[in-house]
Amino acid sequence: MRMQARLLAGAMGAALLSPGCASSLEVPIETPLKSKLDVSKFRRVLVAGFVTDLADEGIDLSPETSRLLQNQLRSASKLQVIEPDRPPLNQALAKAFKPSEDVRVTREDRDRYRAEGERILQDTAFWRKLGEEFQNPLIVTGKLTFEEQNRSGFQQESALVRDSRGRVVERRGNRYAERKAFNLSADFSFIDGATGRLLHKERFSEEVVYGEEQKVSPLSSYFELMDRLLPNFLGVIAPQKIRGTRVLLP
Amino acid sequence: MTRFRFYLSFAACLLFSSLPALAADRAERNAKKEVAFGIDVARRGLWREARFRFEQAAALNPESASAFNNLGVTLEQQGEFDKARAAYERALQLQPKNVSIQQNFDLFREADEKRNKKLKKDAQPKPKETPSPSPAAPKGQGSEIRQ
Repeated sequence: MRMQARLLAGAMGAALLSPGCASSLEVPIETPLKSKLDVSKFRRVLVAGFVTDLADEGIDLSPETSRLLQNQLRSASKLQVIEPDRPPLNQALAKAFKPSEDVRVTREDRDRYRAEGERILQDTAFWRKLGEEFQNPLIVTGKLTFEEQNRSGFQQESALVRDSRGRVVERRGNRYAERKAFNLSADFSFIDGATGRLLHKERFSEEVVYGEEQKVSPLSSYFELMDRLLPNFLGVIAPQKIRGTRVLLP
Repeated sequence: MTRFRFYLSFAACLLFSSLPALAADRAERNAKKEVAFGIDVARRGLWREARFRFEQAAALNPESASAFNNLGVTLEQQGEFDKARAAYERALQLQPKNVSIQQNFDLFREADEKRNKKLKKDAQPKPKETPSPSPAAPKGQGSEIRQ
């Protein structure tokens, strides 16, 4: 009896240890992805602010974005993040741009503001001077546009209904649906604070569409879009990781 | 005496002919040991050691699909994508119907496409004043993309 039990245990052990019974193992892996820009010569990074539209969607776009990027850069890169009281680009814009007497922002005002912003973005001397002030950092700046768009219109719909004979049939039709979209476009410029020259420029654009039942504020939509955009932004100056799982075989 | 010589030479022939088979069997067993140890260390995140073990296993038994598959995984983890591709392809060559190897290879290719798309974007022409960025990466935590 004891012999039989031993044999049984031995057989079970052998079965468990045999290669046929050995199972595969799923392991998490992280594959590295190099950054687009070599920032090894920089020790500091300055988010200098952004050129935005004069009449935005109730969001102070430049300081909000600057603050968000500063936070992200602090955790995603080893560069020391400089935190100026106010984005220097917007300070310079405020000095250079004098709005017209009219209380309302006119189209001309907007165009002038935008043109002034464009001029400063290309002004190498301005960025070199700013670089000197902050000990030659990597400067992040650019243009931002955030707008709400009306996407209401007729939408195709289908529903299952019972006909006069009691059969289930698909009925198609058009229905007017109110929808709105928010669009965020960002042209990021990466400037060498030591020379004032542009190192890299990249455009990112994200959009989100909400149905009529979704009451979403522009601010939360802005954060949703920035959340999508951030990995791409960070990929320019910090290495990224692609996470996944793979199977190891015995 | 003649019969004795005959038996002796027959035994020697038998022994010599079975030697390569015995050696191959031993190599296969050792390769399996290396694979098992490699999996154990990979599970604990010691990818460099795991890679060494899987390389050993593949050298000991070049017919081991497991060794090449696992080597592909470790190479991918270490960012050696060309070598990883070759290892996966070899594993699939050895076991074309293995679903796990195929799945690993498909996921690898998907990630590789993402990387290449990114590289292509970088290679696009830039403004005149833009010096071409050096490929060296800074030491940072980085951000993550979930695959």
